[in-house]
Amino acid sequence: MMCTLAATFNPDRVLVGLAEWVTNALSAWPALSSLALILMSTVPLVAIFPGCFAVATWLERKGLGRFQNRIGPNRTGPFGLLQPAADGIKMLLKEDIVPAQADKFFHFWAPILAVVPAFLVLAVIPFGRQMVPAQLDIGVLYFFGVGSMSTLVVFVAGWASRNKYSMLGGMRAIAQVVSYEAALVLAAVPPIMAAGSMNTAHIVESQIVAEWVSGGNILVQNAGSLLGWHVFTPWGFCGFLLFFVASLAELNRSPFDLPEADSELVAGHLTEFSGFKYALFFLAEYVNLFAIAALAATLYLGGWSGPNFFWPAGLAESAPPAALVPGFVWLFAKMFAMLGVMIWIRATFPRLRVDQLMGFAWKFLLPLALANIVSAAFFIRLPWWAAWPISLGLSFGAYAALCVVNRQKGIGPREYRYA
Amino acid sequence: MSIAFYIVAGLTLASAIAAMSLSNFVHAILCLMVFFAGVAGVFLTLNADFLAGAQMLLYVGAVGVLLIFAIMFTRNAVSELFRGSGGWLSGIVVATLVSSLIIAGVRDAYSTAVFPEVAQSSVKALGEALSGRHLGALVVTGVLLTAAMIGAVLVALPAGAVETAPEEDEA
Repeated sequence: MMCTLAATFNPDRVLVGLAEWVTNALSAWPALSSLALILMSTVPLVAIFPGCFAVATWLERKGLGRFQNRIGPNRTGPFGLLQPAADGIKMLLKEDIVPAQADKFFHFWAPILAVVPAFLVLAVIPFGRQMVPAQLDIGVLYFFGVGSMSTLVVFVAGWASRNKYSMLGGMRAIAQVVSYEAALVLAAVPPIMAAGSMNTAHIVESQIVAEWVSGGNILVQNAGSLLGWHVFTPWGFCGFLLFFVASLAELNRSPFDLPEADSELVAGHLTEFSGFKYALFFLAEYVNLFAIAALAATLYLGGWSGPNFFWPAGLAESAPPAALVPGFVWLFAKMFAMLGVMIWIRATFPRLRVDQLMGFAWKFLLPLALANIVSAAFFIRLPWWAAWPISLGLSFGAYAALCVVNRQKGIGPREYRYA
Repeated sequence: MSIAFYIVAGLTLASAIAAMSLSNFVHAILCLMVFFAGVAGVFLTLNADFLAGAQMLLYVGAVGVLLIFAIMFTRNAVSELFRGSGGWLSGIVVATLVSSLIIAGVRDAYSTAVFPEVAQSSVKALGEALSGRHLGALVVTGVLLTAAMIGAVLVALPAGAVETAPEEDEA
């Protein structure tokens, strides 16, 4: 009795099972069934990620407060937990100010257009086994293709405001994002090579050692769902750090927050936006953050896989084993861990100068990403005893060589040419 | 051809016309972005999903942003309204030549092309074609782009840097 109960009970498949049950119940009406399927894969995203946004703003303010030896928000609710709700209400009640000279059309549409790509890219994130909202063969390419729209929106926001600070912020933003996008996309290439597919679900599955997970004792099973992560290979470690740093710049986060540098540019492209338009930009920023963290986890940290309690699922022999902790719990844990590191970095590092920013992207990140692709190719093609030393040597050698080449030769006076 | 194709093609053509006829440079460029995205949509209706993704990433993400840079670095481009040069005759001649060239190319491709029934990743086939049959074209493109990049670096060098370079070698 216990055995059969244990065999049919599988927390990892609760949501997938629910979706299957609903579609089966509606199978008499195909149109209704597919509509239900679409709603079940989109509505949770639209509901959960604004919630994550609220939690993230609270975490960021509270965390930064602690880093700076303050308490942080503590007036609304226990531990200031209701602060995001208070902020939201405040944003809704604020007056919506549009500059007289502004381009009214784009000033209105920029915040809305900022939110659209942020949510669209979530469609290819695998939140668990068989839990991808849209199974696309070009998943990673879709992510970057749709994500590249958000750059333009920042420029449009800056340009439509007719404000010097906004314009400068917008120009800085597109210069920065174009530079770091190259490194970001190249850093995402090695896992695609390893999986032989751009489908995000396949990339996650390629990081699970299936034969270890389906058999053996609990130690082997957990090793199989942990050690296969790409971050535990030389190129994967290098690639993950590259991807993480480039994504910080892509998200305009500290220390790459020049577009919104508040001591120089007021708030960059956000200067002339008030009330809920401002809140929409922030929503887009944080949803983008979560999306890119989820992609980093998918590419390098095993996505939804992780240490778990496994037992045979009791269906077919080939079926994946049941797991105690659902996959999306692992994915969200990884995303929030990355958010924590981003807050930590923001509290630690000062802002880069513009020339340092560009030099870092083009002279360091981009060559290292290219060398890392070569390293990954050797690692994938060679047997393990040859792959490890060669890949380690290539990735680390490239890093060391770039460090030597880029070493700063003393600090001289800066030369301004077009200023 | 499906309804989706006509909707996407109509949007693409409309944005292309808007990009040519709008007087404000930035508005025209943003319409050009919609046009690029529309071309990606046309690729999608032909079940070429990789090309659609690459179109979005390269044209909307990179080429469009570079165009914005070009506009922003042009003096008075934003404040002064752009008016057509009015060279109707030459415009018609160029348009006829270009469109006949495109039509000829497309007709040639149509006789041999096989359109997949469902969207399947064409990455492998593309890679094999680029590293096999069309390797020459790929190499020539690479050389061209490298030459363009070296030219850009030369243009951007500080004045006098080219002349002083040999003296530094002697010293």
